[in-house]
Amino acid sequence: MKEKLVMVVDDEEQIREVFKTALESEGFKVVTAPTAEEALDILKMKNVNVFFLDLNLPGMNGLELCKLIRRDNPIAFIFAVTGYGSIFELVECREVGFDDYFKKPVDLRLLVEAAKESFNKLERWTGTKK
Amino acid sequence: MMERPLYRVLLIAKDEIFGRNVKAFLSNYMRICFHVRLVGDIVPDDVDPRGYDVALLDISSLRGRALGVLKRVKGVLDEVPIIAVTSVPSSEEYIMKLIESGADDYLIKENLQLSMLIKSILLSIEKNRVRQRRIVEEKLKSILQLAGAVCHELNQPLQVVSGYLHLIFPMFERKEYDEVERVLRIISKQIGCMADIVDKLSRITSYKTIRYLEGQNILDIGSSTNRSEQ
Repeated sequence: MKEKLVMVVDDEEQIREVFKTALESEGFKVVTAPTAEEALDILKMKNVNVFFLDLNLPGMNGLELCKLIRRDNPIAFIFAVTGYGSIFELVECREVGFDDYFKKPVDLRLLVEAAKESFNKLERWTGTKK
Repeated sequence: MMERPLYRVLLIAKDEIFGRNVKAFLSNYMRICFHVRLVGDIVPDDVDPRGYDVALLDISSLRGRALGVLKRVKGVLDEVPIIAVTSVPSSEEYIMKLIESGADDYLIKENLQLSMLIKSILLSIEKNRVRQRRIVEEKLKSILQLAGAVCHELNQPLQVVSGYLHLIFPMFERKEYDEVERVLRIISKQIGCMADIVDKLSRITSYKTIRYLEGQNILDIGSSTNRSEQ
């Protein structure tokens, strides 16, 4: 796998920045977007396989965005990050295709681990790792 | 043999004959056990509202004071349903005033039947139970909406602060002091954001919600705050 590209979608600039810094410090390439619509625009040009999506986005929410990403990319790893979590929300997240669910404030080590594991699996699935 | 249901009745009646008669009828009723306490036209200080399921208030002899007394009794008894007893049929307008002043039902003394009284008592108690349950449900809903808003608002700056705190230690080790200073400024700003949120929470004066995700609402802290006090 040539480039380990991760997408972070969150309407809070500082949150995008801190996630980006943490992921980049571990060798990942990171693209960010403040809205679902901008994220979809980026995806027209870039092939991203690992996502961290805030659920409560202005305009299209994270659940809708996840559905669209999952439809076009069934093997992508998509993680929900939410400021206000409930058991109902977790069920909804699983239903629309999220792989995991993190409640803010999330330990950045967990995000990094999730990204690492995702790329390990992707490499195994696509035969780029033995 | 099935145990009889027990209801505790506070009977507020200045008319002693009426009061004694009602107490005797209710106390001797076979199918339901009524514990009746008879007091005059004011509620004594030792009355604990939690100790009663219903209050019967005889307003027949109060004339112009009736609504005022009813309001005072409601103020003391709070969640206890009140049945007002008038001497003669009243106008619709007056009945509405009785309801507005805190009565849950009203009965007319001159043709009062025991069956009618018991039906009114049971109905008032049941209506009150349903109402109290709804109030509790509404309170819980509001608390969850407030909790949702607090979690949503505070977790954003908390995420930034905790994230940068995690990143700042390697920066120290690498002696990237300019970067450390930049991060400390961000953390300081985010702490200011948290203080703003707490400040807004202390000034909530109205109830407005916003949609969070599908089917969920949370309190709109910004719109529910009295901005004029800012």
